[in-house]
Amino acid sequence: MKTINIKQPLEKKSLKTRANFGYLSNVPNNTNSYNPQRLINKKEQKFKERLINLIKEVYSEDEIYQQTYNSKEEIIRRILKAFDESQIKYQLSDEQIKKAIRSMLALELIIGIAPEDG
Amino acid sequence: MLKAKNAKERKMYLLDTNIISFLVKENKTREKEEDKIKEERIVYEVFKLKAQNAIIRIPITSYYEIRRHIIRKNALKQLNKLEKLCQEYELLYLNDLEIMNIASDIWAALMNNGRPIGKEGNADMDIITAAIAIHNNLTVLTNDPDFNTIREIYPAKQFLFKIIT
Repeated sequence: MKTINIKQPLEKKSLKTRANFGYLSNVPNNTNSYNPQRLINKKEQKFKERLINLIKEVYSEDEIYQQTYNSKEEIIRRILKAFDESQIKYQLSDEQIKKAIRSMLALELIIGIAPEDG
Repeated sequence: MLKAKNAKERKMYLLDTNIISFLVKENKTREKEEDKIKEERIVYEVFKLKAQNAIIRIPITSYYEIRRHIIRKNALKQLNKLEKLCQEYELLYLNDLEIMNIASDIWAALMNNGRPIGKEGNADMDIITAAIAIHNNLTVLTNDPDFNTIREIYPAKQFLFKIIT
């Protein structure tokens, strides 16, 4: 049977102890580091890594992507920024993301391609 | 008229020729901060929509506008870039008489109301782009405030546009 030091308020106990005593209903028993914000950040970070890998994959599909007006670094920054605000990014499949990246790169490709008159 | 499989979930847009024209110009002043900012803003808006899985199409008139400059300057190496663009963004053709009917209605309404748009009332590309959008229920992505005039003079319910400034 589990015991608890009643002299110390339960609120001051560790998350793990509080979870063991059912104080936090939605905290898994096996954690002592429950932090929703950290989980969100972790999810964000994981998505960012996935996105960067997919960008690299798309870049390697066609050498033409090396011929953009803006640098690769700048384009990647723009892509990351755009996905950062997407509300459905976690629901997108790899293929859907790659399709979006291809169209983004295609738009970057046409920047500055028409020589000016004169 | 276009019908996306899941049109309810996926918004559909049409890139206006003015946006493409701004991007494709080998603008020697692009080094200027204001042009750079404008370019980034335009690209960002399109990227943002693509990151939302939106469908974006390009009117055939834009293809014409880009290609004619490339051909004139014999910059043929650039053609494969244009080809790539056409692979990724489906082109919308003037394949229905109704599009030109709408376009001519818009032009006549503008002229009759004393509100011509473009230089000397010559903004056929904008008018045709608006007609393609109306016909296909697409929202026009533009940086041209002339679309406000079209909206006022020709208040088709389904004519939507988003100005990127």
